[in-house]
Amino acid sequence: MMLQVMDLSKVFLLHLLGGKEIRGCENVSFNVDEGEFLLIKGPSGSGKSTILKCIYRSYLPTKGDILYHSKKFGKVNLASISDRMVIELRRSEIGYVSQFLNVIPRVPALEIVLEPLIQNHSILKREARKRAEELLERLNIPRQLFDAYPATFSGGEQQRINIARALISNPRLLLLDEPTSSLDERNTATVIELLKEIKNQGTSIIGVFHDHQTVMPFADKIFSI
Amino acid sequence: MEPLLRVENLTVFFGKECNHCLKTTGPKMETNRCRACGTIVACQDVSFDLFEGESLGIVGESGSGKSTLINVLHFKTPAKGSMFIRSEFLPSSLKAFLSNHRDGYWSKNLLSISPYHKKRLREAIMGIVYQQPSLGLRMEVSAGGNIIERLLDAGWRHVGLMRTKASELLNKTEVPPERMDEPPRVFSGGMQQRVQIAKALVHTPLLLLLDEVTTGLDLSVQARVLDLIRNLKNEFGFSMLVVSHDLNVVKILCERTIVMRYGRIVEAGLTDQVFADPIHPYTQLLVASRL
Repeated sequence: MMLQVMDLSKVFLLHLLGGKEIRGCENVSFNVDEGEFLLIKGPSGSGKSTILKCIYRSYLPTKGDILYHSKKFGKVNLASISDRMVIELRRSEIGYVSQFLNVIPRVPALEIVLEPLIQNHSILKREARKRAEELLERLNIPRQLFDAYPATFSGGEQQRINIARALISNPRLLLLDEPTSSLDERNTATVIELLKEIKNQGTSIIGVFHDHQTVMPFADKIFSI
Repeated sequence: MEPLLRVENLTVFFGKECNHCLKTTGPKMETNRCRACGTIVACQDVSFDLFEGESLGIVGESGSGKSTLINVLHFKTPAKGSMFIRSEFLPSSLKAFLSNHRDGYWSKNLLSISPYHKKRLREAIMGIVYQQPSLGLRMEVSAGGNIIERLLDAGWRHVGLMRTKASELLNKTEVPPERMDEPPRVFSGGMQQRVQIAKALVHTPLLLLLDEVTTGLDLSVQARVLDLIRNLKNEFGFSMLVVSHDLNVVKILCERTIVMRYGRIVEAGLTDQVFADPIHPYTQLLVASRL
């Protein structure tokens, strides 16, 4: 088993509003095997993203365990390991695609995509460049945009840059938070094609999609909130 | 995974200390001035690890002890507590003096070594960039001269070689080499900052300390300096300590962030976690006030 979420709860305590409590998600449990795609379904505000962010540790879980079988450290609990270990895992094993691109000023699209590879120090810059170019081409990003700054890109282009950045280091576990929300049909199909490929290579995927219909056929499991 | 640098329980008092200092200051008391004797407790029990090639952000309002912390690490402000570096990262000429002979893994407590060794260690492994270029540069000496000064300190004597090295560094930090004979006084703010960065990089530091480096620069210049720092970090692989009151700077540069208030660490975590899911009331206020 790749990932085991047990009894996960997240409560936000808002001190600025006099200690108001907001429930993100409550007692969530599920398993994901290697090469499996889990689709999370539920109305908006039901805590779908919260679950993904807890797994990625952008949120600190309030309660529960997230057991992950990592290549690097063996079995770890993502809810409690050190920040440094999370950073290592994010670099080499766990990818996350959000709805929005976190734009870094004055860095061209291609550099944003290949940065995770460079940080791993496992590959020459020339090779990393080649892989980034291939990926962007597959995602239908026009060549002339490779050296442009994504701050001015359209929503759909930014989203595809984001996907490329997450896929370039071949993550073992991929978390998708509405990665196709601003893509047209053709590009959505391309992205889904890519996801199928990496799934066949053994990557586990946990995803939240705004239109379930398009991804339903290739989901192995569905978790409804 | 073992860190490169380990800092434990740093405590800094400005003034004569008394028994009440620690009890009457801190985030809970909302002051860092001792009620009994007026001493400022600039840092109390600040501990953190810094890993190889990692950038750690330190945020907080003015007076929270951020700059004091940087000055302690740069051996400028004396402090109680301890600071260790892994022996294998000590420069070979200092290994015999500074490694801890009992376990050999960590160095001696760097806060209690002799001033001479502090200076040599600082020269060998650290670089610092301040908010005001006038603190890091001699404004009346040429830009090249500022860099050559550090080379001279390290024992270089060949003028031609030193000039070549200086122009290489200025080139890397995007200062036109033909201006290396002009004093920084006549440069723009952004360019002064880039000369400062070049000066900090002279000996390819292991640890780069950045104290509010982009504060006061206009937006496009700010983006250029940040971008430069990111590229240099990818190229040289040094660790960084980034002090800033601007959360966006830390968000762009740092993987982990420490939040300080009244000299104490109130929260520490992954940068995206601190910003997306702040736990401490003060951090929540800080994130909510972000532009």
